[in-house]
Amino acid sequence: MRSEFYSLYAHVLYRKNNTLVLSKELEEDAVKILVDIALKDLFPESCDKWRTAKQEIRARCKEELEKKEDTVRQEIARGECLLRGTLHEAVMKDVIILFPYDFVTFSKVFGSCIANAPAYCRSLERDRLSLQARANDDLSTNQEASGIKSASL
Amino acid sequence: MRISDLESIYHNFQTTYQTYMQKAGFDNVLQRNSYFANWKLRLVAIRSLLERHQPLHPEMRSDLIQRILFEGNFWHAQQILTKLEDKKSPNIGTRGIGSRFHGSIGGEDALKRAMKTLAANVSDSQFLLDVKEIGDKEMRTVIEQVETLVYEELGYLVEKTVQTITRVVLDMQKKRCRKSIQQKIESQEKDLLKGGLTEFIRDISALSVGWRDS
Repeated sequence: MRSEFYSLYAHVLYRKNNTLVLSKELEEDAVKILVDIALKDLFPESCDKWRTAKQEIRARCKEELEKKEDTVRQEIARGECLLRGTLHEAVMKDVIILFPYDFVTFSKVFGSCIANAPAYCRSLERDRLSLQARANDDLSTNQEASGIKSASL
Repeated sequence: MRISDLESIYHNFQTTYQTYMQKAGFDNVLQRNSYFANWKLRLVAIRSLLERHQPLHPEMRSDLIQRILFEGNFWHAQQILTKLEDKKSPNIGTRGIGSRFHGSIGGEDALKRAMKTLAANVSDSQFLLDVKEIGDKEMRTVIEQVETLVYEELGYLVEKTVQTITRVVLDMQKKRCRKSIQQKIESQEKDLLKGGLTEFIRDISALSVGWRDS
């Protein structure tokens, strides 16, 4: 329907005695309609050039977006350790408020790692593995755990 | 990086943090551990009984510690207490302090029940503060074991919680950065397309003049 409506006016564009003056304010969609109904036949090279330019811009921007996203992902990953340290400190503070019984020992055991960030990150990796192992272990032995421990005492 | 930085960047950070802290359940993590609960009961019991029955003959004291702390044998502990009451007031029989735990089912149940109530009324945090004060060599070994357990349990939960919150914050960071980059690139793309369109329009207009003149 829409294209039929536009084609009613298309002949105006084909008149040889007309000079085409397109407003610079025209939106891309409006220009696209003009291209579809007449300009692609009248000025095929310019239309192709414009189409190619648009494709190139979009491809370039997409590529740049991907590149920047990748950079940001890497930066975020690099900051993970620092973030973990900050959060660790915050969680520890809250836990010590709940359990103030042994601030010094507790801080020594779990807080000292924050002071040495690289070592802390390495220990986190080890912890992650041991946590996984423990989680697996818990699943299989959870029900028996209390009984075994009581018996061993 | 500080927590205040995260709070200013992400308005929902504090809510998120609190939500995950609550989910972690630090306030009742030790209660959920039956091993800890068992030791807490024994230590609260022995501490309370030793306090009530001062001064106690060293042999009897050691026996009571052995029965309750190491064996968890409340029945035997009750026997010791009854014997102690009998010695103190032979005419009173089983009506003394030690016998207050005699119930209809039996001494062990009554004593254990009473000690369970007592232990339940002491918060885990307070319990840990209380046992820290105990200097008894026999009991220290157990207390140190309990402390190690507490460190492990809390440490494990701290790490798990930090891991979870870190993951959530990293997601927040990624989303925020992605959005910002997308907006920037989209605006850049829009400008470039607009430039291309202007050039095309200019091109068509120029060609149109030439086309008409031909």
